[in-house]
Amino acid sequence: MDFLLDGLLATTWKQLVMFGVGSLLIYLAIAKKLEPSLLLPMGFGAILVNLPFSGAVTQMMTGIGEVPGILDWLFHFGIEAAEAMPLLLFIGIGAMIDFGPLLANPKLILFGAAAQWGIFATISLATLMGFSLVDAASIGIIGAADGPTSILVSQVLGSTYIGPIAIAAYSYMALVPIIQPFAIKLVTTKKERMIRMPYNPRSVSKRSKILFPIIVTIVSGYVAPASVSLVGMLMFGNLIRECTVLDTLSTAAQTVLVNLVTLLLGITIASTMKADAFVTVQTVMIMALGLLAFVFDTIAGVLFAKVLNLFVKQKVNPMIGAAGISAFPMSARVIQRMGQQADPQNHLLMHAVGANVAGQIASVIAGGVILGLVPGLL
Amino acid sequence: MDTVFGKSLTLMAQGMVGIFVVILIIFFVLLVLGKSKKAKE
Repeated sequence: MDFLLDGLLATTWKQLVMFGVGSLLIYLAIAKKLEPSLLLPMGFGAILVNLPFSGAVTQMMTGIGEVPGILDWLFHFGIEAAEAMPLLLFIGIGAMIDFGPLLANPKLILFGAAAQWGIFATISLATLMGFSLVDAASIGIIGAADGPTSILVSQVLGSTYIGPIAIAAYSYMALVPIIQPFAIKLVTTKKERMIRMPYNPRSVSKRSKILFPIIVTIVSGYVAPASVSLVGMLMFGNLIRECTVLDTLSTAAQTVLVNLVTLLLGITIASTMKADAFVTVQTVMIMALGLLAFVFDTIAGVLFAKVLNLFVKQKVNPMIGAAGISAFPMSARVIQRMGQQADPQNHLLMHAVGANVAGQIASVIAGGVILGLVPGLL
Repeated sequence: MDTVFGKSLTLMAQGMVGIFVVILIIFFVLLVLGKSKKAKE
């Protein structure tokens, strides 16, 4: 009857740590409501894959040979083969986003570009800490503030740290309401946060809303071809939304598709959270670098807005630049709240939403640009 | 620039230029889409 104790005796301290990590993620998902749709499956999955001889992952069994596990199978076909899961998720995200505030105020798109600087600053920092360029680029992309992009880029580049990268990306997205106010206050004065911005949007035609996703896909495809799968799926979802003749598909993409893929993505990513690979000093470093990426993004966006203010008559509230990160819509809400804290009559929400959706576009372009550039530098 | 850090700085420069080029083109697309609406009105 020794086989009953085999699992218990084979348990390592690293696996016990992973049970703790899994429990912590489940706690944060349920008790703190931090990205529960991702962190809960990841937390449960972390426990599942770290049980000794877990049948959820591929095992070598004496006398039988290799026995495929469901999570490894899902990872292979859902992520490794063609990044299907993160890309399918982008269809749903695209269907959720209204680019109207951006079309109504085009200059907001510039903030989306500026706030991606944190990605590259983090990559440089990661190389100084000893990571290879591939791993550093995968870590830096946490600063895209966009979970599926982080997973996709790290997977395509072949990073071994996809598990911690996914956890950092989703955790810090959920912590944007804590991270961003801290970073914004570092580089702004109360007087700057009080700057009011009148909202006079121009009307946006249905034709413009339909043409926008098509043109953006073509432009991105020509200038940064590696980004076209990311941008294309995002814009395909948006086209389904804006064409208004596929309302049932749009609703399905926003609800059923997103929920189903998110559910599977979370538990599939957990297959990369095996104790031996996860309980390392590098994981701690990645979590720290991911946090810095969000801070750098925020600061870059704010500083860009300040520079822009040197050249424009109608001043921009520098906090709008911070909304250029992709964490939608948390970042826009943070800016609105901070604006009202500085001046209760200051309404920045629509400007912030515009910058925030610009960040969504810019972050996937950043992912594509990195995928296009890194191989040439190796 | 042959060090990993040097390459990361190259990536930063080329990456930010790449992102801004794409975003600026999209910016002009947005302006044109807005203008065509105004012309119609």
